[in-house]
Amino acid sequence: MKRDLMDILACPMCKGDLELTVEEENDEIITGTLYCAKCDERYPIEDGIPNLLPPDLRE
Amino acid sequence: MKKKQLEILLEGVQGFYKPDLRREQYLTPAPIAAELLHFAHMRGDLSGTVCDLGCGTGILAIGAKLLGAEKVIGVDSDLGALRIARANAKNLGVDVEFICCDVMDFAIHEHRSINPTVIMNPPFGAQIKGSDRPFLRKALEIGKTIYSLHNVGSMEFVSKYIQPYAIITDCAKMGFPMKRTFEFHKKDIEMVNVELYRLERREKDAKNKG
Repeated sequence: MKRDLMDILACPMCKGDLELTVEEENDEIITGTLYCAKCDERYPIEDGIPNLLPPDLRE
Repeated sequence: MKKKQLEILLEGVQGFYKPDLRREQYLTPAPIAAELLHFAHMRGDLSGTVCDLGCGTGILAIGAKLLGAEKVIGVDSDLGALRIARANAKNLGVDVEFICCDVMDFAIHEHRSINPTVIMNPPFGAQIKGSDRPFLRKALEIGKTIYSLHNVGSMEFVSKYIQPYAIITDCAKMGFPMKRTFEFHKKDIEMVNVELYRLERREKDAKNKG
């Protein structure tokens, strides 16, 4: 994902803000985390794809 | 780009590795994808942000980007399909964002005044009755203009379902040459007739549609 995707991304549960942590980035973010402080939930970014599925439905 | 050129490019898009029957996963055939996209492009609806709900391996999303959309986002709950979608986009040299999320849970941040055009080939409800409805609800929640493929004869149901929030402004009939995907398909290629609807949201807030 590109950084500017943060402009529109919202927490899938509360629809609020997500905080981005980047672990690997070239022209886009490859690995990282999206964190919702309100829900205290972390969503992984892997292979450039943010995964907003509930934790129990992730691969 | 001409429709035929787009169709030829989209023929290169790879489909599902293991299609899931319950989710009605099959690759939208390139001629149908090209037809939908060309139609939307001609109406001037593909210039800004475009969302493909239930994007699967990305054929509609990638096509929208090939036609010059500013930003394209594909949403699907199948991470494996999205990995193929990313590879498809890379092969065709376009930047498309893919988000792994249940379509029902997907939200555009409420502080942003973005009204994307939604393009989608939702499940027709052939396997699980009514499975096209949550897609219509989500499309109306996030988008102002929606292009959606349905079974022939769905017009009455869809127009009733979306009122008073939206209306059908256009309908195009298409033949849908579906390749054998599931075992119960009897022929290698089955012609399935579909209808493309262009919906326009009228009310500002369609979020309470139940």
